[in-house]
Parts: sequence; C-alpha cells; structure tokens
Amino acid sequence: MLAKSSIASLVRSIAHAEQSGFAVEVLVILDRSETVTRQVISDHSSYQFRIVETDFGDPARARNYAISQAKGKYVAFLDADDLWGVNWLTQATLAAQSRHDAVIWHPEVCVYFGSAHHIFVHLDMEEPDFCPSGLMIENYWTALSFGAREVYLQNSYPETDLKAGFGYEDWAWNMLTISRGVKHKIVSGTGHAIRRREQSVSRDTLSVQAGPRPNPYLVAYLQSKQNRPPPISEAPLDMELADDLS
Amino acid sequence: MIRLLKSMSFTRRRIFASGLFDVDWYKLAHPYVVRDKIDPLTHFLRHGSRPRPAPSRLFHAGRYLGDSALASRSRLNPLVHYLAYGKKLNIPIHQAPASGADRILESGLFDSNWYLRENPDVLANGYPPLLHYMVHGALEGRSPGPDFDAKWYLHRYPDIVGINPLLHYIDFGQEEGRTAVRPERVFSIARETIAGIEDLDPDLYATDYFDDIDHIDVVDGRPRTRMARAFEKLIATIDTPPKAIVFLPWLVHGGADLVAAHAIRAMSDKHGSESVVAVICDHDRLEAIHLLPKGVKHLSLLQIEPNLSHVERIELIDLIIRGLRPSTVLNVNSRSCWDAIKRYGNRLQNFTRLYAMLFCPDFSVSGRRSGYADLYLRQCLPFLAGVYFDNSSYIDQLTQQFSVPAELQSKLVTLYQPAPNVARNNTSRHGNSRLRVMWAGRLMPQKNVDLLMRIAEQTQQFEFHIWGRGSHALELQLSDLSRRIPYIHFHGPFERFEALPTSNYDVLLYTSLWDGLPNVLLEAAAAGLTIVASNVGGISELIDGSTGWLVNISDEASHYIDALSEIAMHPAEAQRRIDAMDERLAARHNWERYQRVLTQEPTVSKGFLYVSTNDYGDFKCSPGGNACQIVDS
Repeated sequence: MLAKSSIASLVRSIAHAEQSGFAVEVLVILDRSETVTRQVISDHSSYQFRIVETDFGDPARARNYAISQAKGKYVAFLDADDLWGVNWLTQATLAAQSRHDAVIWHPEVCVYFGSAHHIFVHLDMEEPDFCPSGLMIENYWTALSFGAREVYLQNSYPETDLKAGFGYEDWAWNMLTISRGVKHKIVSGTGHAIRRREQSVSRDTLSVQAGPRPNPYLVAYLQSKQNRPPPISEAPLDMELADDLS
Repeated sequence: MIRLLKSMSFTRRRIFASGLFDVDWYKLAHPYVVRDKIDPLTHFLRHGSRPRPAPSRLFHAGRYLGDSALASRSRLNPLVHYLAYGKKLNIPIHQAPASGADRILESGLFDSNWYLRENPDVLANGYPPLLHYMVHGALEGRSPGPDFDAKWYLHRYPDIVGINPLLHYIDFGQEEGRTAVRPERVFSIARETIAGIEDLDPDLYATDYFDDIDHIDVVDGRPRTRMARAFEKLIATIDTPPKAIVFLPWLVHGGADLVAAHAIRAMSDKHGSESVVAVICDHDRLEAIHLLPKGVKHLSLLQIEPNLSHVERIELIDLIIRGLRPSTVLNVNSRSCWDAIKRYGNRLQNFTRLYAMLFCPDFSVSGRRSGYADLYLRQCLPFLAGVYFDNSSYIDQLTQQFSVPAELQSKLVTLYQPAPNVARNNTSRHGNSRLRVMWAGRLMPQKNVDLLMRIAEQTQQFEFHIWGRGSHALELQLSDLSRRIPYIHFHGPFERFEALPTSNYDVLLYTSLWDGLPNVLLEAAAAGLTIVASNVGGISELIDGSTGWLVNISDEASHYIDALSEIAMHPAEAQRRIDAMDERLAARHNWERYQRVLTQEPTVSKGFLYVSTNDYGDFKCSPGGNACQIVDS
C-alpha cells in the first residue's frame, strides 16, 4: 500500500514535466512484488503504465532490465517506498540538457521520513570539497538517479549477492560509473522524500556486513592522479555519446 | 618611550627589546588578560613558567623547555632564560602553535568589516574588532562573520557551554559534521519538496515534519570519522596502486620480520619495487626498516593516525584491500589483518588473493595455546588462497589438530626460508682450548634460558657467549652468572645475527621449548657453526644426526652437555656435519627454490608472487569458500 503514495508523487511529477513540454513514459517493474502492490499499480492503469512482472529477486537485475526496456532519451528511477518532489523530472531534464558529457543527476536534498527523520544532502562531484576517498566508506547518493539512458546502458548495475557479501547495487554502480569517467551532480533546488522502514533491504545488507561489489573506483582515481589510462577493458563514454546526449 | 623603557626593570627592557614579546598577539591569544585588565607583560612574567604561555608566535615556550634540560632545570621563565643564556648557547627556538585568534583568522570565518557593521557599539568605541570578539563577542554570543551563526550554533548544539563556539567549530565541530550556519537553503528545498507531496502520505501529513526544524539533522555522505580521515591521508600518500601488499604488525629485528622481508624482496625482484607496499598495522615500530629493499614503500597506520583503535585498523585494512585491489596480499603476523580476514574474508577473497604465513604455536603468559593458527586458521582458511609455513611439521600438526579436509590441505605450503650468504672466517680452535659455545636469542620463556643457565653452570669444559635481551629478571640472572663464573660471558643485546662475531665461536646452542624452523639456525648454519638444538617444532627438518646434534629430551642439561662434549672431542665429525649442512642449505634453503615455491604454490592459486597481467578481477573464488581459481585473461 505504500506504493500508492509513490505512484501519486510520480503522477504529479509527470504532470509538471508534461506542462513543461516533456513527454514521459512509465515503466513499472514488479520484481517478485506482493499482490497488494500489483493491485495498487493497476489502479493507476489509466496513466498508461507499462507494467512488467519479473522474478529477479535482485534490485540490480531489475534496474538493468528496466533500462533495457525503456524507450526514452533519459531515465529516472523511483523505488516503491519513495516519493519524487513535484519538479524533479522537469528540473532534472533541464539540467541534463545543459550538459554534453556523461552526467548522472541527483536531487539536492533527500528528506528521510518514516522510521528516520533527517535530511540527506547530496554531494556534487564538481564541487572543490568533494572527497573521492570517502565514497569508499559511505555512499554519497541514493538510487533515485536521473540520466541519459545510454549512460545506464553502457554501465549495468552490479548484481547483489548477499551470501558472498555484496549488496548496495547503487553504491557499487556509483563507484563504477565514476571510474569510467561519468560525473555525478546535483540538480539544484530539487528534493525527494525517502521512506525508511523498520525493516529494509539496507538493514539486511548491514546485518551480513555486505559491501559493494569489486570495482576499479579507487584504482582509477589513483591512476587519474597520474594521468594514466584507466585499467578497465570497457572504454569510457566517447564523444559519440556526448553528441547523442546533446 | 625612552623614559618608559628606562622606568622598566632590566628584564622587562630586555624582553621588549628582543622583539619576541608581541603585546597585541598576547592579548588576542589570552583575551582574559584584557578582560581582567592585567598588563600583558606582567602576566607573562608572572605565569610564563607554568603553564608556559607563548610570548608571541615566534617563541614556543613549552618546546624550548622541552629541548633544553638546562632551561628546564633553571625554573626561569623560558623567554627570560633564552635571552639571558639560551641565545648565547645557540639553543634553537621554534614557532609557537597557532593561538585561538590565529586559528580563527586562518579559518576565514572572521570578517572585521561585517563585525563592525553588525556591531555598531564596537565601532563607536573604537575597539579593534577581532580583539573585541575574542574578549567579549564570543562569550556574548555575537557572530564573527556571515558564515558562522553563533546563536544558531549554540542553540542547535546545547552541549557547547562556556567556550568560544567558533573555536569549537574550527577545532571539532567542522570534522564532526556540525553546521556553522542554519542550513536555510536545505530547509527551504526540503520544505518545498514536502509541501508538494505531503498530502499523499499519512507519514508526511499526520505530523508537521518541520515542527522542530532546528533539531533535524542535516548530513551529507562524507564520512568524518577518525578512520575516514586516516584513509584519506593514506590514499593521498599512494601514487601507484600496488600489485601486492604485505601486512605486518611492526618491523623490528625478529624472525618473522625477516621472513616478511624475504617475501617483499622476492616480489620487488620479480615485479619491481613499486609493485609491493608494506603496511605496518599494529605498532608504530620500524627499527628494522632497512630490511625493506630500496624503493619499496611502507605505510604505518599508527603514524598516519596515532589513535586508531584495533577495530578501526581492521576496518582500514578491509578498505585498503577493497580500494587498492592488489593482485595478492600477504599477512605476516599482523593481528589486525588476521581479524580483518576473519571478519571480512568472505568478501575480500573476491578482491584479491589472500595469503598468510604461520610458523609455530605460541603460548600466553598463563600457558594457554594462543598462536595465530589456534586463533584464526579454522575461520580464515576457507578465505585464504594459501598459507606458507617455514616447516612442514607444523602443517602436519595443524592438519591433525583441526582435521583439515583434503581440499583445504592443498592450501598449506611448506616454504623453506632462504639461508643468507655469509662470508666465513671461522678461526679454528687450538689444541686443548675450550669449545666456544654461542647462544643468541630473545631472553624469553620460549627460549628456555633456564636450561641454558643449567647447562653452563654444570660444566666447566666450555666457554659460553650469551647474546640477547628480553626479560629483565633473566638479564639480571645472566649478568650475575657472568660475574660469578669466568667462562660464562653475557654480552647483552645484538641488533642482527650477522653483526655477531660468529667467526670466534664453534657451536650455536639452541634451547627453545617450542618453535617453527627458526631463522637463527639458518644463519648459524650459513656462518659455518656446528649446531646443537632441541628437537621441537620443525627444527628436525634442518638439524639431524647428519647435519648437527639434535637433542630429543629437550629440558635435560646433561644431554646438551654430552652433545657439546662429543663435538669437543671429535672436531672431524663436527666438520663433517657442517659440510652436510652446507649441502642441505644449498639444496633446500636457496633463493631460487624459495621464489619458485612462492610463485607456483599452492598450485590452484599460483602463489603469492604470481601477478597476472590483468590486475583487476583476474580470479574468482567459489561461493563455498574453496580455493581461489586463477582465470587468465
């Protein structure tokens, strides 16, 4: 039932974006979802949601699948517990259109509610006080990101495997994308509301002392200090993509 | 001014003339002097000895007294002492630490013009703005500039009482993530965000989220812990990600340190000095840093951040491995690293190949078995790619003790340490002269110094030369023995074995109660000494009836005396065994064999020295914790 609020915030943000002249498609991935969630979503079928049921049991694979199915130029994620600010889609699209390089966008603030009560401020990689080593210790950004679909297509989310000690697909993805030359920035003046439940995936992840999957983030950072090419086989985003994004 | 100077005492005149007393700086550094209307120089002269305030930024009073015992003993005001004596004696002086006012100016958070604009009373009285802030403004809750809101800070953080809030922020609050000004922008965006959606969810509309807005925590992701600071500093010192990291507790003159140095040297020889970094984890002791090959970088966690706790060091080791992703990692006796493998080995085995070295059991003061194998091997072995032992006996013992399954047994590798190349210059014993017996080691219960003393006391046939340090009580006993008995010589500590005058001795006597295959035996053998040793641990793999004298009943003095007597009476047999030992060293304890084993074994993970061309993600460990498999690219 909590998804009801999320969907309502999505509808409101879409309306704002459409008023600004942007077309929006909604793709709902129901990954091993409960019956109640399915019913809540189908109540909004009048908004022409594309609903796909999956059985991944892994947020990373669900995100990657969603990207593969999306058709738009840009992609924005909304998790079922959370709510977008009304102007999110509009402002994020405008910000994305202002840059010609590979950028992932985040809201400026996240208002945590439910079992939490604090405000989380996202960091901007292009600010002078950005601390690269700290991202190894804490995740700087939530999973509700926005960016060109091409960026997501070229950078799949690393799968989680709590048994092997790997969780936090969004954190691992943030590091992976940075190691490949993608910037993470904030959309000024925007916010999300993030629901913290008593029992969440993050807490399961914490309980098994999981961390992000191996990625070349820090090694790439050290090598960039020396102006060396990154060690990964995949090429960073090239100029063709930059042109596509423009 | 001249009249004023003339009216002053000689000491005051001398201080003023020195230029080392800065009245304005002193007032800012000690604002209570102004508040209490005390003459600054009088205050300095009265209190300059204790608690030793600095007279200006140019003179560090405390350090001056610390550097000069003469000045400290004199009980004079340090500046007075310096001007009267220290200057002539060329005692160096140093800059004083930044005062509170200095730190405030350096922070950029004090804005004189803004302060005067916001505080017209200060402007009207012609009070210097910073002095006013230090003397009155801070305690009155006035703000120093637009970027620090004192009222907000004191309201938001009620734990700050009776101290300058700006200094609290500069010294502590900033690092703790406290905010200097009310985060109006964040609150405004948060309010706007919630206003647009709060009607959608009962958790938002049932209560006013911003009811007590000033006490809502505003945080960003940047970690501000001591461990995070240490990690940031550590990363700043690294230019090239290493292919291998060796974790050590310290780097002192010990057997395990030498063993670690061998592995580091082998890696440096094979892949270059930049390929390997030594991380000193548990103690900031680097006495044997010369053991590292030239060009090999070392990092001491406690030098980077002296107050790191054991738990913080475990976290840091986990981060170092996950971040730098070396192809291979070796732990040589670092407890923090063992704990990191125990706690995080399940995931760390996917970031690197983890190796460790084990030598022998160890015992606590109360006699309990508490060596690293006992404490960690069972839990860590599934995550380790291999464990190297300097002897095979201990592998057999542990395999039996823990019923190590066959698939994990393949990870346990005997890695005989290389013997040093020593130029021999042994002086031969003349005719009836006494046999010269050397004993060298730590004066600890493990080494059975009691037995040594019994052997030495029970015979007058031999000359004993005892080297080492350790237990104070044992040192005293040996000194006493040395004074009482002319053929027993206690020489005290030695830095390294190769520095000992081994050419003056005939026999190395080794009396240990438990051991692996101690390096000192390899060094003694390489130096051409006949060896008499207790049969414990892996010693029998080096010393047997053909290469030396192995004493089976290890705590009985008479057996050692019998062996020494046999050597004294049969020098030709002793020489035959030295020759046999030379052959054993050449065959088994050579550098090439050492490198080969360290490159190829355990077979499945290819050994610590193996580094693939693709440094990142070239191996996979099976989820069940079986041995790592190399996947060549």
